[in-house]
Amino acid sequence: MAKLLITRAGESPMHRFIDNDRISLGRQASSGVVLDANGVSKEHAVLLTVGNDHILEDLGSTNGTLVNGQPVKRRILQNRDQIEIGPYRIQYVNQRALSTMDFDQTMMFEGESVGGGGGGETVETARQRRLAGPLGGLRGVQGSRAGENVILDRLIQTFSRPDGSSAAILRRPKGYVIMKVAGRESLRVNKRPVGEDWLELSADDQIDLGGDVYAFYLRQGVGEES
Amino acid sequence: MEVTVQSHTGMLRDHNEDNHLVDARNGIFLVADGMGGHQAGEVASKLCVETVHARLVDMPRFADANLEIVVQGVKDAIHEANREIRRSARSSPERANMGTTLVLLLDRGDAAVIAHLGDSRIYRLREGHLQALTRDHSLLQEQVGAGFITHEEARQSHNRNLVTRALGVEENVDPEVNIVDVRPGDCFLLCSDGLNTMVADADIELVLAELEANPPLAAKVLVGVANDNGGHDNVTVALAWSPARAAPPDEVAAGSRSVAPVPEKGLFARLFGWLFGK
Repeated sequence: MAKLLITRAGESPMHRFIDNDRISLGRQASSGVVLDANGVSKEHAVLLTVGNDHILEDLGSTNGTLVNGQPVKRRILQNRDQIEIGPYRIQYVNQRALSTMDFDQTMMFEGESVGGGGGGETVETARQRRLAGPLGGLRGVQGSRAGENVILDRLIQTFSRPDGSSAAILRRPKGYVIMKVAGRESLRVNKRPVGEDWLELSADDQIDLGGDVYAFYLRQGVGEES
Repeated sequence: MEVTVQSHTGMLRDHNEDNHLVDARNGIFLVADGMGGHQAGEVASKLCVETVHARLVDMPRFADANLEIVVQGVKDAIHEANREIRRSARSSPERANMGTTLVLLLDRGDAAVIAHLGDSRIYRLREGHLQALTRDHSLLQEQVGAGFITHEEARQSHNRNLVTRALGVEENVDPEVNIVDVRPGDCFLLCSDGLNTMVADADIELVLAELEANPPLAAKVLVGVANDNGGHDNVTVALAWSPARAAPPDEVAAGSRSVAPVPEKGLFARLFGWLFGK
């Protein structure tokens, strides 16, 4: 279960399991977590549980609430977040609240539903994509694309011939792969035919799509995270 | 419509709880993402797609029924699948809490009936632009929809996998069923959340648009990208596309020429003809 680790200089740390959908934090004696010190408002903040999330909300306190050094009005807490209220340091500990590794398994929500929501599009739920490999590109060396230079900074890039024959290069975490997409013209890498089963590209590979010849290159150093 | 499916266990799980069923002849496409331990998730998702499909093709005069009747038929089929899953759940304790999401697309030529429950999705790629046709029945989507949290905050949430509607969970189900129009060249994507939780919508759009000429390859690449990004969940991708209106190159050229010449009738004659229905 998620918990709060509450410390104050000169006092021994206190554990508080988050066992309630609404836990108030403040100087007031009736608070769920009593923080009795100067700099803490009577009703300073509240911790709400919604599904898997614990949401910390500042209740308009005089001196504010900090999370990881930043003042917040509201924050969906992440594992190991450091909360500061007055002289108190509170660490939020929840192994399940990692932004990089969720419990992705689809589960039925058993609490009370929020109810029908208004309009608007689908929530973007995907994580950030991490790329570690070097950035690559293509230099046209022969045919209709000779002299052109294309930086392969997108996830996928297609190259076509006028007759519709095409090939695609996919950027993977550690490098690039190439595949034939459509059309009559053949795709060859270093003179070897390539089909839909993608082939890993290495620096200086010669790519030939129906007479348009490109040289594949890799830039030095590591690529950016996007 | 033509259709292609790719389904993969992902990089972290040891079994695939997704199931799909494609019946191109009848234009019925289904993807379901099961839940429940002890392999019960697979049982639920399989029972779901098979029951819904069987019930639909059994509909009297299914092939020429009008859209309203088909919509009702889809609802009936989903209710039947719900009962079927609950019946099976009662048969063994291991299946007690099994359930499943569902997305369905039923092709009727220039229109399609779509239905969904849970957090599996249907998208449509039209002229290079991707649009979600379903809104998740998930706690996260509901929170955002109700204005409790913002889109930005949603990225920090851990509620993306909590579904608020599913088959098998309760006596009654409340599927969302809609009619959408279909144009030549449209591509419909049905997927389990293993795709859209691992691959950003913008990247899904890019892959589909770049590989439009080869949908089976697009499906394969989408699954590959989901796994490249971590593959935290089972991923199923079904692509159903309506062939582009075939126009041989010389016909296109002829078409563009016919626009330019001065029309045979003058403006007044044409207006007159239009006003009086000539």
